Amino acid sequence: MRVASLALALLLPLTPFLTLQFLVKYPSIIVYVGLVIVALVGVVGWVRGRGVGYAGLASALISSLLVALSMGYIPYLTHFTLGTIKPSTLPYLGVSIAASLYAHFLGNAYEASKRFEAAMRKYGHDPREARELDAMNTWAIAVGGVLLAVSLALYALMRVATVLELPPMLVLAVFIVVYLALMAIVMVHSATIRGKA
Amino acid sequence: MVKEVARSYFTLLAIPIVLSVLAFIGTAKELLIPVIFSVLMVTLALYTGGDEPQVSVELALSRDRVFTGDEVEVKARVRVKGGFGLLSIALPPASYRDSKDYARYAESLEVTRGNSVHVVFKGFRDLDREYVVRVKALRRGRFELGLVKYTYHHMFGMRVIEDSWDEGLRLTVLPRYRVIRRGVGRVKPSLVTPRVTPIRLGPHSTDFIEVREYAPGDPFKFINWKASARSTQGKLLSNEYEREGLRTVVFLIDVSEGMRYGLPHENPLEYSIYLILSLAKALIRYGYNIGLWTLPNTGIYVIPSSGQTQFYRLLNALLIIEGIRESAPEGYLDPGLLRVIAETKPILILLTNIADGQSVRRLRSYLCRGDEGRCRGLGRVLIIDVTHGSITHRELLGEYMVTPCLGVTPSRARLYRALPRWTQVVTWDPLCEGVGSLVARLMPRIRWLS
Repeated sequence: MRVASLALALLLPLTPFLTLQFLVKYPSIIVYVGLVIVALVGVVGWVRGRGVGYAGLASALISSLLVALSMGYIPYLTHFTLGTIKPSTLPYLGVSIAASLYAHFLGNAYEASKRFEAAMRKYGHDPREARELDAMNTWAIAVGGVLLAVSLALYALMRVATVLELPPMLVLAVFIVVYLALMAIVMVHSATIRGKA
Repeated sequence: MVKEVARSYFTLLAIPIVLSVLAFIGTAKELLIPVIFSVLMVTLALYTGGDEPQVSVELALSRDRVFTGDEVEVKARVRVKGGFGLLSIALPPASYRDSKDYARYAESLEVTRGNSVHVVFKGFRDLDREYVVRVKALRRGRFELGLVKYTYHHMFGMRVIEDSWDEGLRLTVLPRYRVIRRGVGRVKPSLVTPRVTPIRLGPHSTDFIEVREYAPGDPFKFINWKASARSTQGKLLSNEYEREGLRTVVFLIDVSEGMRYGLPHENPLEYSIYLILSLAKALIRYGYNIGLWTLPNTGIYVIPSSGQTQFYRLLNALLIIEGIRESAPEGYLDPGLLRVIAETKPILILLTNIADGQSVRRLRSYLCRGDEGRCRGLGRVLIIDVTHGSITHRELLGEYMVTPCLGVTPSRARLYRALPRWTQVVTWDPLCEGVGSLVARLMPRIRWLS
């Protein structure tokens, strides 16, 4: 399952760019540059033995930035847009960006198992215990998959349910404020967590 | 590692907020999917990261006293509650890898079955595993075998915990010895010593002789505190009692580097210990007083006495003797040993490995007690030269070696001629000759020295 984790960590970050290339009218050159950057980050991380997960992170941030440069406040204020994104393709883009984050998570799990594998060789572990690393990767894939499905379901619920008549952008703004407050609280306790680490 | 944990922690917290801001700027509701996904991930990471695993390991040894070559089972039951990630568990003897004493563990204990380091993945369910490690004791000694270490890596990198504790288990590996019952010739000393007359050969009786100045090696219980308090010169005084019994044999065991030639568990030092115990067992049966000192002096000694208890004193002392790597001051002998030699005129049996001219020079510095250039001996000394040639050849050639026994090389005979005249050398190649046969060869010589 470590191979599966690695494959997913390298391939899933490419999906937002493939979506932009084939489903959206976006300048190919920008898409290819993004694609090459993400692929390079992934391959270099794989060869170096650390940083595979950054491909997913880079992909999510670059593709989100490309979306922000094509619609919303920036094109409205600057009267400049990088490309045109049809509303019907946005859900695919959202899912592919979430998949990139999933790849980041899998890349980290793969790296942790590689580090453990090296330590196992050094300390003379039983090679059969590598199955524990496979178990961890299986869990990582399963947990990530479940979280992805749950987030899709929640999004669908938000779209369908009209219990609260609140504009989604207002909800997002409220979320940012609440999350920042929660993050500040967690940061206060982070010293304790790091202290125990 | 803490830096790494902090980095993954902050990355995890920052992702949802950055994506939310981008979604807000882009006014794309669909970007809520990755935001929700990352929030769920953060929630799961914080939930599982705050849950510290409770690791408990029950250790048990199948036996706590074994002989060299025996095997012992270390059973470990590992229970983990809480946590979500990988656990690396080190059981003894691997748990001593970072200790300064690990070299002794590595050369003395060999894992023959199972593994003493394990990696387990702890999911949402509680973990309960049992491990059995079979350890072969290669070399004598006392070993702590209760240390358990574990390292926990949280799946999202939120936490790394390292912990260790000692279960307090100890393993004593006794050196092997051979009980020689018959066929060793006549070993009773020729010198007949009446048991009632004051002689200075055997153990102390209860018959008081005099009060004299304390000398190193005197038992503390003989110190006469009242007389010491009355002493005008402020000297420590001790009582002297009559001695009785048979002759005394003092074993002098060389612990210098030459005694470690060969394998860690198979070298002249280990064979010397095997021989001392076998010979002591036979001599104690005949009522001899047995004592032990090391050359150079390591502070480990056994004051001569007789009886089965003395054999166990000897065994305990031999258990902790180790070869010395660094150069110790040569020629220095323990004052207690010199006093025992002066008082009891013992038979000195020196076990060494006369590997080169340097060994001869070193032996002379111990045995000769005269002024510069003169060699006044301690007494008659029986030197047993435990050779390492066959051991090292077997180590190097292994299965290609047709015969494991090389015998005595002529160069050794030349070295023997450089030793003082009042010494007798008996060569012993442990791979050529068994200890029973050697004891049979030694007994007439011991009798001659008695």
